[in-house]
Amino acid sequence: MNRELYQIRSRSFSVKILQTKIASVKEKDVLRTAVRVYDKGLIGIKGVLGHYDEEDLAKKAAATLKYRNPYPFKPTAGVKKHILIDEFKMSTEEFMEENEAFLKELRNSIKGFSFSHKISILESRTVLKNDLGLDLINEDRTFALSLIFKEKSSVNIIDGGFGYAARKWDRNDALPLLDGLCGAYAKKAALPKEERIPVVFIEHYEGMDALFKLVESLGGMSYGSGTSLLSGKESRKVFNEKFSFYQSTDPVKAYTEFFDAEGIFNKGFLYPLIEKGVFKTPYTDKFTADLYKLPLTGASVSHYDGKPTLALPGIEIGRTHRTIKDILGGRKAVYVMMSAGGDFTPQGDMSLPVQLSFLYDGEKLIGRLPQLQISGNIFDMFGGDFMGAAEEGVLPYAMLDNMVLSLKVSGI
Amino acid sequence: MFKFPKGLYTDVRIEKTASATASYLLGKLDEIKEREIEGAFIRVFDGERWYYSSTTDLDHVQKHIDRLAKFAKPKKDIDKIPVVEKFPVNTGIHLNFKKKDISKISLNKKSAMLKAYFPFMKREHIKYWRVYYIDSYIEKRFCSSKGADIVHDFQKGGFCFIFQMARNERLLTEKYQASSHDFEDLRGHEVRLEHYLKKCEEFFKNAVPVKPGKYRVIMSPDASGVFAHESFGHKSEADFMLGDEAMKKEWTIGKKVSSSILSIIDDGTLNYSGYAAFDDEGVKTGKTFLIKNGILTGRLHSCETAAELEEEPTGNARAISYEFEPIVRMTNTYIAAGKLSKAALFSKVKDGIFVETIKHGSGMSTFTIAPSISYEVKNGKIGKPLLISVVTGDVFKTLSLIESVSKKMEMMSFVMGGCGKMEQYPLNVGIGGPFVLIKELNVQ
Repeated sequence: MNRELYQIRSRSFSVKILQTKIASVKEKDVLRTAVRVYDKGLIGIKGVLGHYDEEDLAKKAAATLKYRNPYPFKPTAGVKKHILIDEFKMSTEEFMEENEAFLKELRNSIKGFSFSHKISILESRTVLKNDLGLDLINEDRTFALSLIFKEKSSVNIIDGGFGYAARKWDRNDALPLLDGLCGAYAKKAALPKEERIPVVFIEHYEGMDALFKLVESLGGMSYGSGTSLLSGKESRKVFNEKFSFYQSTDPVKAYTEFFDAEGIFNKGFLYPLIEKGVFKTPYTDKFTADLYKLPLTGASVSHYDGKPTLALPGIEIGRTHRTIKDILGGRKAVYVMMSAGGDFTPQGDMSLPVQLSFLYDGEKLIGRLPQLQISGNIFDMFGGDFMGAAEEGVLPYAMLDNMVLSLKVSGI
Repeated sequence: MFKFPKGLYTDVRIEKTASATASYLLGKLDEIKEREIEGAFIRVFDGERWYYSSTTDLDHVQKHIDRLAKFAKPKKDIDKIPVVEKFPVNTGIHLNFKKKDISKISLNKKSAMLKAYFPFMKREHIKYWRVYYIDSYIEKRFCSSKGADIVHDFQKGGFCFIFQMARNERLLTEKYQASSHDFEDLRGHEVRLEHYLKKCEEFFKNAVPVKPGKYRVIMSPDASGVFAHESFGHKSEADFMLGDEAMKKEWTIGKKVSSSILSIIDDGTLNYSGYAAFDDEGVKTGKTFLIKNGILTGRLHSCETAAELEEEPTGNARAISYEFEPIVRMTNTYIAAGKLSKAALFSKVKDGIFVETIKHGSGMSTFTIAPSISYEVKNGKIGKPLLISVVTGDVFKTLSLIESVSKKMEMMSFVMGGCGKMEQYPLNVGIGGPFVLIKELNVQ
């Protein structure tokens, strides 16, 4: 019998903002610990919140072997790696002072708008170690800004949202961005009169709406069972030569642990799923890789006390250009800021309602566009309609990457 | 129980949850799990700011109260502050589910109930399927510095089959789910499951892409419930109005906001997924008309929003777990039944769309519904199945375009998913409504 400890500590300190003032302060400290035991192709798991006794947990985990949860794989062995990202050192007291000053400047400088929601310090420590020499620790401390903005005269619940994760908090970075955003919001712009228009998505936010079907189709389970749009298309060039798509556990860029729930990580924390338009492999965990005889990519997640299961931990799109301006080549684009409710048909046709977007020239937001409907098919979006992905985005520090697709855009 | 600091309002919510989950992949066991967790959420209010703490260390809740109190500025007359005045002092033990505690049912019984449905999944076109069983029994204790001390409970159990059909380039992902407070209600779904699977097979084989455009749309009770929740329910949550004079002016009670045949209600006392005896600041839940015959009649409140708007709390301050503060949320939200029969409502449509099941919805100034199974409607009859990505409409324009409402209302409860607001997802809510005919929506 082998034994493994999986532990996630999440601490946060947040201020909730209402009408550009601090309305509440919240501290959270949650420790989740589980012991996994592996025996004769079965896995037993017992978890607890807060204080724990590892020996007691191990006994209880062994007792859950009676459920006969299958896990016919060897636990990952003999790897030691600790990553500590501690660039963000601001204390909670400094954080409170910075936020008070930030909100005061916001109230004074952007008078026509009110801001709400929250600003947080997030700390996480994830440990996965076992008696076969696996010893992985990922620690990170980040800052998260998440603001909802609203014109004071507006009768909408919200007019827009703005946020980013980073490892630095300086109000002098955020203030000009918000000033530019609100300035552009106040100016109405018209949609360029072109049949297809470049559309800029922030990959990890609104971009996920456009990437959803691709991520679903790249899943090893749907691929292997023949229910994926990519089933039977391995090693074929099905997308644009410029389009490369990676599974990522890069702790710096993807803001995630560098290892998956089974203790797997890849060279450079990346695994190519699509390379230069060629579909290489779906993402897999140990179970899916074994079931369909696929390469193991290390794509498993789990609750602290759950059996690892297949899911894509993080993504990265291969960079094609340095800036969005380089991609646009002088054309104007739609910069998607807020989209909700879109979906794909089973055949991969997307319709995405965009509630807030801006006309964008690759350097600055020019003005607010009316509500839009964006449509495309997955094989065109990342095929002939894929224009590129830029190294430098609009937002600071956040390592948010920006992809540009040429899509059919119309008013709602 | 706790020593509450002077000059401050304090409340503590302790949650104890016992849950079980089971999942099977293609008929084979994937995972069975039982879990018991405990946690507490502590709030301290000094009349200006709230101070919150969430902990799993129940032995040291007092330490958290004392630490939060150090951040706060005590006030002599804290009980006279309007928000604090609104907090009721309810007491007593209200364990409505204890006698049928779902967590006490053996895993063998739960698995056997689930396995009885497995043979239905053996079908030519189903290439992949997975089923989840989920249940939880939650006991909450809420006590406050004003003297509230309540113990109440909630439970829910259910299953969800997710299946994928595939043939050549044709694909369909669908699900069948059932949920109830009573485990026995989860049995006996054989006929409904078989009927639904046949419907999905027909859809899978025959659905054709819709021609995008504007159509008259009939929404099923599923879809109309989501429409009510997304299009108007969220706008009725009064925390969006805090400190916002433009919103207060716009959302004046008595204003006409929709077609006069429309009434939307939120009711936390109904025995569906959104049920709660009390909300998470100790207020009894109740029935609130949001729209009555087209007129804005009420809104959903926490004590804070009720105090600011000089109205009464409605029992809608809810949190998804001990890790979060209560915010204004819906419970069971539905469109009230009208007068027409379903057949009479369909007969009004010569050329339109029927949205039967949906994947998800959203609602801001524009609402969206992503249909799963939809059909054309020709001369009042259901026609060929249609593939639709999304149906959209301007919320207020659509509310005024509601033409007919059928006379039978149906409520839906969910075992997976729920309502999301800011970072709090998923919250147990119920949705429902009758069949609803809308004059025009944008269909893509």
